[in-house]
Amino acid sequence: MIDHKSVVKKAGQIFDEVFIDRYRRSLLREQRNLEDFFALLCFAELLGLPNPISYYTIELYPYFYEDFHAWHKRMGMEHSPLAGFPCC
Amino acid sequence: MKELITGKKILFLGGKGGVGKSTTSAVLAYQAAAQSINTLIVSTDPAHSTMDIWGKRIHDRPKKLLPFLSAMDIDSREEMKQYLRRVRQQLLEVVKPDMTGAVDRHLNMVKHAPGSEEAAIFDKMVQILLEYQHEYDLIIFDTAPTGHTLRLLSMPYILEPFVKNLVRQRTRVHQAQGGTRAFAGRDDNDGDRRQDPVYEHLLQRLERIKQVEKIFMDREKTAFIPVTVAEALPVQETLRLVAQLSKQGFPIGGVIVNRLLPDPPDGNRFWMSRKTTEQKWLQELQIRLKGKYPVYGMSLLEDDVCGVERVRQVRPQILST
Repeated sequence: MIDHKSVVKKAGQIFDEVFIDRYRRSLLREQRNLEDFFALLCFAELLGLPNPISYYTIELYPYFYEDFHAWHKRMGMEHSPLAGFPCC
Repeated sequence: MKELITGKKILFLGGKGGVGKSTTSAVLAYQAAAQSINTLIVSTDPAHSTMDIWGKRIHDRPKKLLPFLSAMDIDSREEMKQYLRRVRQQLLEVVKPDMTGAVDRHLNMVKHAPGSEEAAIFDKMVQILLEYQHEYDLIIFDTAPTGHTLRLLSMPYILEPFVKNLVRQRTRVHQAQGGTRAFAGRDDNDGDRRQDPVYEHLLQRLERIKQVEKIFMDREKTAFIPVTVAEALPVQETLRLVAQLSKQGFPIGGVIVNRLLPDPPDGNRFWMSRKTTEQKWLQELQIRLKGKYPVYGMSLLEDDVCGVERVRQVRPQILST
């Protein structure tokens, strides 16, 4: 006899994997993009772009430090763009 | 000259280097203090002339010079140092101990980055405006030469759109974070924003910038007073300064022409010629500003305007309205 419950459960898992996970991943990707863009606006001067408020955004450094390494890699910089600030 | 000070809370004195901005600030401050208007002179000029005029050391806190008169100095280097020291402490809490040297090297570079010094002065100015505007009846800012002043005054308009944009982008980040979290079955969307120190810092900045903008534009309580001497270059620069200030909507209280010559001795061709030249530039200024801004004059003294006794002797007289 077919166990209806387990079939439904299995179907649910497949649905989750195919659709929900994909959706979750794209949400996370969107979140990361926004976070990266925000960091870029704050620290544009590190990429050589003029940033009129860089003096004011350095106070935000401590809050970004943990993600800094991953960020500069995603921005296409193999090594830290901060001269004398080797995070890697 | 009473109308220059009466009812005002904030005065900015600016103009070409060497025309007597600090002297004029001292004179106006003295006249205000003499009317029991509790006055604070704030010098943003690295030349530290205020110190020389009053013959006293002036620091980054108000120092009482007379019963109703105090003075203080903005030291941009000191301001930067304190700010960077704060950032450094916070950074050292998150980086690995062996990175201390790297942190110091980087922060030292920020100190010399373009724009840092004026941002530091602007920051301190904001702090003074917000902190002392209730303690004193009148605050007189003795600013650095023209270019500096214009830049300093336009800081809110440069900064505001940027900070606003950062706040907006940060909000989008929060929304995205909230979305992912809600998806994970957690329903605490608002938690982020309230606990996000980055957002807090930015909102605080924005709030302060807006407050200062309001003070700058307050026609009732704030006035910008260009100071000049009646010579070709200073008068032309003053006319440009007036044009720029009025174009940006800053309230102008009037122009003060410093060091007006006494009547020349008869037959002395040199002094007669100097007086003629002076009158020519004075008239040029008056004609160009007629009906818009009053022009005041201050006479040249026999010796330096240093010390209370001398400061007391000078006072701007109205020449035209």
